[in-house]
Formats: sequence, C-alpha cells, structure tokens
Amino acid sequence: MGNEAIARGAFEAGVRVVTGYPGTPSSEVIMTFHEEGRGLPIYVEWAVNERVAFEVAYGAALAGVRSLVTMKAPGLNVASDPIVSAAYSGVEGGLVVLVADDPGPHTTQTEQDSRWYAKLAKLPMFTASTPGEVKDTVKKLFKLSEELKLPVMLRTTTRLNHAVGEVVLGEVEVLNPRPSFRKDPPRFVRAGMKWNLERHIWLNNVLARVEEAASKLSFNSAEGGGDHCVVTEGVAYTYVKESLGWIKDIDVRVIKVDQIYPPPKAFLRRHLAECRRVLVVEELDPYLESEVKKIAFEEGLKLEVAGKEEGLLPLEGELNPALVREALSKWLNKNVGGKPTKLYEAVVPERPPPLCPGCPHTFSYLALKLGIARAGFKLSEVPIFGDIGCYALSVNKPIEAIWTEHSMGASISMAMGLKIAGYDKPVVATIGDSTFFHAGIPALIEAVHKRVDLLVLILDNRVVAMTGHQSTPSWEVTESGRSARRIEIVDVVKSIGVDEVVVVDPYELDKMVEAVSSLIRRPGVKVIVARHPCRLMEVRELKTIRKFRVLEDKCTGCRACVNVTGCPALYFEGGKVRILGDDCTGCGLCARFCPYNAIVEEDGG
Amino acid sequence: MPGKFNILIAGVGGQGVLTLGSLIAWASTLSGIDVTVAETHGLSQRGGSLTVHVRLNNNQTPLIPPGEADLLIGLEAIEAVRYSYYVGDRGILVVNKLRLPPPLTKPPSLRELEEGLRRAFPGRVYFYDAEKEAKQLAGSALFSNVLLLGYSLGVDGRFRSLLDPARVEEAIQLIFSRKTAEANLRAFKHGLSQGLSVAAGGAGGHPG
Repeated sequence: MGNEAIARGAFEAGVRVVTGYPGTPSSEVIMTFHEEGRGLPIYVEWAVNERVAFEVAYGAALAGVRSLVTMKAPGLNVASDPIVSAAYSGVEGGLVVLVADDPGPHTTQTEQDSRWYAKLAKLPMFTASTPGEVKDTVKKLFKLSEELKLPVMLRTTTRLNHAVGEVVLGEVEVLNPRPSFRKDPPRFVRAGMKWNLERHIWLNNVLARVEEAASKLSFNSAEGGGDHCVVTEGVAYTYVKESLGWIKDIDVRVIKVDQIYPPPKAFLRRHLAECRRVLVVEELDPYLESEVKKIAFEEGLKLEVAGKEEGLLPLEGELNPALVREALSKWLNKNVGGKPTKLYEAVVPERPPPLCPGCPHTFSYLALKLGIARAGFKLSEVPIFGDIGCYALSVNKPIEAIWTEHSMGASISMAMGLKIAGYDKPVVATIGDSTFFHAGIPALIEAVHKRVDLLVLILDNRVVAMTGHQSTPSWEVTESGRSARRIEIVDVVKSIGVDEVVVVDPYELDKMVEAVSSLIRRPGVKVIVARHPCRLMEVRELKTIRKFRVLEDKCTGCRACVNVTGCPALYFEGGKVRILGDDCTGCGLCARFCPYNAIVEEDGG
Repeated sequence: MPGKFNILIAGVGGQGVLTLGSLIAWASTLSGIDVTVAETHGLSQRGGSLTVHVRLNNNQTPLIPPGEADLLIGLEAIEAVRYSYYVGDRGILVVNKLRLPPPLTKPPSLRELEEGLRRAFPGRVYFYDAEKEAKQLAGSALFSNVLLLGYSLGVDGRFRSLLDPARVEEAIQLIFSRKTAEANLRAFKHGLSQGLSVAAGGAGGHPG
C-alpha cells in the first residue's frame, strides 16, 4: 500500500520522530510504524491534532533529527499556521510533511487541492505516481529538506495512498543523530519584523535553488517525442501511460512533473520548447495547467494548451483511466482505446454507510431525540449540530439526527453562534471524544466564558473509530507501547467550568433520555458525556456477547426494529425480520423497540 | 500487454472484500505478476458498499475503466449488480448467492437479480452459494470470500492460466494466522474443485 511505502521510505531514511493525526487516506503511514516498528528507536505517536503534530515534528527537526508528520487535506488547514512560519525559520534535520488529498471525494468534506498551500506557504512540494516510486521519493525528500534547510511537503492523492503495488526495499540509513539546538533569535524568533524581512529574502533565495537541488536527486522526467505533449503528475501519470498504450500511430511526449512547487521551470522550458500542442492531465484544480500557461507566456512559446480550463477534463471529482482516455480522444481527434462497450446499468437501492451494529452513537442519538421530545420540544425546532467522526453517519435514515457537519470542533462554536444570534429554542452540539480533544476544547471555553445556553453531548467511545481505531488522549498505553497519562474528558470539562456535567452510558437508554430531557431546559452550558466503547472494539474484548433470535410466530413484519435502529445486522425475508448472526453484536436495541416482543435473547446466551 | 487481467471485487463492508484483494495481490506477487490493488474505502467500518480493483500486468495503473473488468467477484448480489457496468465484453461474473438488503429498502429478490445478470451477460454468470458452503465447511460465512476466489479460478480458465492456484495457497499461509490459514486453505481448495468441476461440465452450475 502507498502509505506503507511512505512509512518504509521514512524508515529507510532514518526517521526518528513520526507523528500526525488520523485522517483518511493518510492514516496507514503511522499505523504501519505501529504494526511493524515495535522496538525501533523511533518516536511514533498520534498527536492531539495536526498543528500540534506539526509543531512536535518541527521541534524535533530543529534538533537535527529527521521527522515525518502526516495528515489529510483538512488537517493541513489546521496545521497551516505553524507551517507557514516554518518556511521562514527552516529546519536542521529533514522534515517531510505528508498531506493526502482526496479527489472524489471519498471520505473528505471538500475536494481541497493542497498544492496551492505550497505556493502560499512557500514550501517545496513534491509528488509521486506509484507506491514503488513514493518510497524512494520520501527518502529523497529527507535529503532535499536537509540540503535546503526547509520543511518539504509530499502531496499524495487517495489512489496513491491506498493503492497496493510492488515496492522494492532499500537499505536503511544509519545516522545516529546527536540532537542539539543552537540559540539563533533572528532565525527562530518571529517577533522581530526586520528579522522576518531578512528571513523572507533568505527563503526566496532558497526557493530559487530548489530545482537544481532536486534535479540532482532525479525528480521529473520526460519520455517519448514529437510535438504533442502531455504534462501530468501523480497518479494521473499512470492513467496517461495506460491510455497511450492504445495509440500506435502518433508519437506523444509525456512530461511527468514530480516537483509541484516551485514548478521546475528549466525542465518545463526545455521540454515545452519542443511542443506545439499540450494537454495537462492532473487531479483536482488546473494548477499545473496555469504553470504551463505562465511559462509559455514568459518564454513566448506558441503553445496550444488544453486541460481542465478548456473542459477536456472535469474540474470536480476524481480522474480515472476512462476519463483520461476520453480527453485524449478529443484532444487527438481519434478514438483512443477499444470499441466503446455497452455497459449494463441496473438500478439497485443505494447502500449509504450505516452506523455499525450495536454502535453506541445509535443509542446516543436515539436518546437525544427521545429526550428532546420528552422535554416538550419538536425535533424540527431543536437544531443538532454534528461534528467530524463516525457519528456524522447519524445524518442518514432512520436516525436523521444532525443538521450540520462542518469541520473539527465546529459543532460547539456554531451552535453557540446560532444561540447568540437570538435563536430562542434549545440548541444541541454533538461531538466525539477525539474531536473534542482536537478542537472542541477552545470552543467549549468560548461558550462557557460567554455564558451561552447550550447542551453539549460528548460521544465518548474511547477511540478514533472512523479512521481505524487509533488512540486518543484517554489511553494509558498508546499503540507504540508508550506509557501515557490518561486525560479524562470529565476533568477537562469540569475545569473549564461548565454549569452541569453528567456522565451516562448510552446503553442505559432511559437514563440518557432522562438526562437530556432534564438538562435541555436549564440555562448555561450543560455537558453530557455519553461514554461507551466503540462496539467493534468492545466486542473483540468481550468473551461472550448476547445472542438474539426472532420468534417467527410473533414477528408481524412491521419493521419497527429496522425503522428505529437502522441496524445493518437486520434484514427482511419472507415478511419477517432476520438477524445476521455474524454481524449482530448483541446490543439488544432492536429487541427493545419490537412492539410484539418478537426478538428475544437466546437462553444462556 | 501480455496477461493483462482486471478483477473487480464488490461487496459489503465486513465481508472480507479488502482481505480478498490483498490475498490476490500476494498470490500475484509470489507469481512474479505486476499487480495493483485499489480499494474504495467508505466512511464506515461495517455495512457500506465496497469495491476493490485488482489489475494484473497493468503497469501500476490503479483503477479499472468501466466495461473492462475480465472478472467480477461479487460477495453480495446487490453489490454485484451495482458494479456490473465494469464487466467487459468477455468478462465473467462469479456472484455469491447472498442478498443483504440495505436497511430500510426493498431491493429486487435474489432471483430477479440473478435473472437480470444472466440476461445481460448470457453464458458468463456463475451464481455460487459460498455462504452455505462456508458454513458447512468451516462453520462460518467468513470464509465465503476465499471460497469465491477458489471457485472463480476454477471456472475462469484465463484467470487460472495467469494465476496458479498453488500460489494462492502459499499466499493464504503467508497472510493468515496459522489457525485461520488452515480453514481458509480448505475453503479455497473446496471452491476451486467445485469451480473446476462446473467448468468441466459437471453438475449443478451451468452458467445461464
């Protein structure tokens, strides 16, 4: 997998500090270290959020130690403040910042193209096309970072992070770094405006050297000949190569750009001078396209440049070999690829991702809705703000709980905003434990300090579940085996000074309904910590789970069980509900909502 | 390109879709085949729609274009139908006789799904009750994925000529723990022999 290759590349480069925050499609880099790197002298830990992760890695890099920090695209937004400043202060040890974009998008709130960040932060950025290549790219970037004394960014997309392919292992560099830190205020203190100006000049001088330094490490390449040229990068390169495999009679030059920022101008100038027509094939925004057009303009090249701005490729969504082939066909005015196949299209029901069987979030949102109703409010008048995590799936039928899902931690502050705008009905914010640690704490401080009336539901399942069960600050031993101090959410909440805090187990549904209905009417900031471990994790540790069965003579096929819980372990066959034995986790929620007592626990189960 | 072969695996999260993808990848690597696997991770841990694109000898290009899969392995019938637009002119479909209706929906019956596929891909659809076989053989539906792979290698001569089943057996021993490797190996061999006998015109599974 591309992410495993990135981890391997960092390992071969002698990395000593690896940190980040979980986020698809970047998470497996650190998970690989956790699975394969036990006992190595490498610090590998999840951080509380991406900016802290970057700062930790940056501090290590100042000491001359090679460091890696990983995040998904929105995480880069969180980390952007220290990252932009780091371009002025630079590093001693190599620092590679992995940012994984998600064209599609498959699992991300936006199709952010993080290549623009390199330009904004003035930090060198590179990319790669295959798992095999990216491993070596990582190694080269550590060298480059040290030579330039700048953090270097590696930008990937989902199809590289999650693609499995051949990777050839290399030797591991033995570095034995001796961490040191020399006091140098003009370089490291960004409070001096004259110093800042001087460092900006320094930075621009370094950026002017990037292409030459990178070319010694062999980045960027061109193949083929002729005056028809395709400029491409990343995974899109593989689509271009595959598509061109169908063409025999036209020579097409493929110009592969690995250096995203600053653009490799000398390299591009050299190759574009041979071209008459250029097609740019890249994921997301027409970033390279604008660079190619700029160079053509500066050099006075008579180039016909086409790409996304000309509508040959879509500005939204993910590329694939079929789209690239279609663009090439239009561009070359010939049919690239075999004869068009008539595709079989059949309509089957969508399968939106559900909350898992037995998920405590299902209990929590049911309790929240029942509690709101019991307190005498209509569900349509009490907005429930959501946040980032599995529980955002509560937007789907039948729970249909959350009204918003925006960015990490935003549930609390957005709910507060609605309230201070004068909204006169209760407002609820719901946020997971890890998301609360990540960005919810400042928001809660804001709400408490300004004395806003707000109900905050912290869904504490003790883990970052959605991205594959990573640790949170509540763990006493992390994945690496490191002994850690448990941070209790309740202690944090109390110390902030909320008006009331209640801890409940959402599996005790009635208690939680009661807590919601009593707290929602009262003034001030009230917090309910709904604590129950992620069921998938809990089931692995339980020796036995309860087993349920359906009494066929009692089941009327009314579907109340499914209509209330939406549990994916239930299905209907022959007018009766059935339980998928392998999927059921024995939570009993369906049994509770069966009006005919047709779902019962098996004896001795 | 010699030996180019595209396999699309479709199923529901939790069925072992990703495991099947990495099993084929390991078996291919052991055979010296250039292999690329791309998984479409959904948002959820369980129960979402899921595909894995496996491409053999294809220069590390991760996604299969629609209409160019040589083999579709459907771990669940609705998902097999959903992604059947990936199947190419000569492509074969091996589909588990299992229908998991998404909660709150009323999808077509298994028979309707099967008939639809047989009409669209005459002579190229194999429905196989891997669920039943897995439960009989190993006491759990969890082995359905490996049974379906064995069965696919049995019925699809082109696939078998590329990927020696012996390499799959080696890969099973490589990626599963010793205890589950044995059961998976049994399941794989069972699926393979049933597929081979169907391909040889044996009882019970003539494609429609």
